[in-house]
Amino acid sequence: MKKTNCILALIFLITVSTVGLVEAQTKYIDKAGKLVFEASEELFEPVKATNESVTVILDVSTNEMASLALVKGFRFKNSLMEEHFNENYIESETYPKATFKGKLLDFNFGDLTENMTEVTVDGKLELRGKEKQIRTTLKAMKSDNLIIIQGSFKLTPGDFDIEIPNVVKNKIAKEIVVSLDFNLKQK
Amino acid sequence: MKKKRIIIISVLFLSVVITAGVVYNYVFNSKHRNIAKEEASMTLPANELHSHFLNDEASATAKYLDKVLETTGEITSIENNDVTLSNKIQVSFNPEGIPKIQNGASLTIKGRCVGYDELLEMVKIDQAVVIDK
Repeated sequence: MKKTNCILALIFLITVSTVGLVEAQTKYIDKAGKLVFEASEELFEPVKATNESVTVILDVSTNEMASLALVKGFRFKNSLMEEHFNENYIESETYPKATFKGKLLDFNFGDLTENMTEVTVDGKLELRGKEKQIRTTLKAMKSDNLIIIQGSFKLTPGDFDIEIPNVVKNKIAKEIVVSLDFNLKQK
Repeated sequence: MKKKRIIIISVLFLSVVITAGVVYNYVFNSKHRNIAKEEASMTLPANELHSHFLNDEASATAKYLDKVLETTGEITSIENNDVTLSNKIQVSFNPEGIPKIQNGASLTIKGRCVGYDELLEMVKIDQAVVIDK
């Protein structure tokens, strides 16, 4: 009787630990991802900001991807531009986060090699309390124990109901290019 | 009479040039905040800061966002330019880098609160410097 109990306990322990192991192995995380957006017009001062503290989580068993950037973390070269961005355009005190929730389509982690391959991402971007559906093609590769995802996509201020005043309209590009560089490590 | 007019015109011209210069300088060269030199507006332990955000994110955001905070916690991870305190605060240091520190040690830092990251369940602080105790 005691023996069976012991064996049962052992089986239970093994099951719990393997389940835990499997769960832990499918998640890849980047705590310091890089996101750059640029809306520069030629001849004018560059409108460009970088956030090097973006969080990205990818679950390779479900291909679900989630990302979060704290808006105050976007740094501009020009401090006044940073102030205007935060106060007038993005209202970061009210909407402190930009988030993305989506999925990598037709992605098979096992097929990932050390060469860049294209991968389609589909999901919802939320910024300034507004949601925008995006589908874009990024590049991904494996390097040692890292998954590297890079690429860019375009947005417009109108996507998030951001109005650009007439005075600066010709100094800010109509389309904003967002580029990303994530190095995800197995958790 | 003519001389007076010339003086007035040149004074006017000069003041326009100076104003333009000041405005230009303000728009294009105004300095970023120097967090390292600012006084911390609040001092609290890492756990307390984190639980404020966890319990009431909106009020914590209103209270701490963009403020210079001083906080103390146990070093739980060190990665590139980032240090995690008590598994609850992610601290990014200035490009000058992280001082020599070890996991498990207690660390006090001063930096700007950037907000709460619900994916990691961590408060983020950037432009940090170490406070010697």
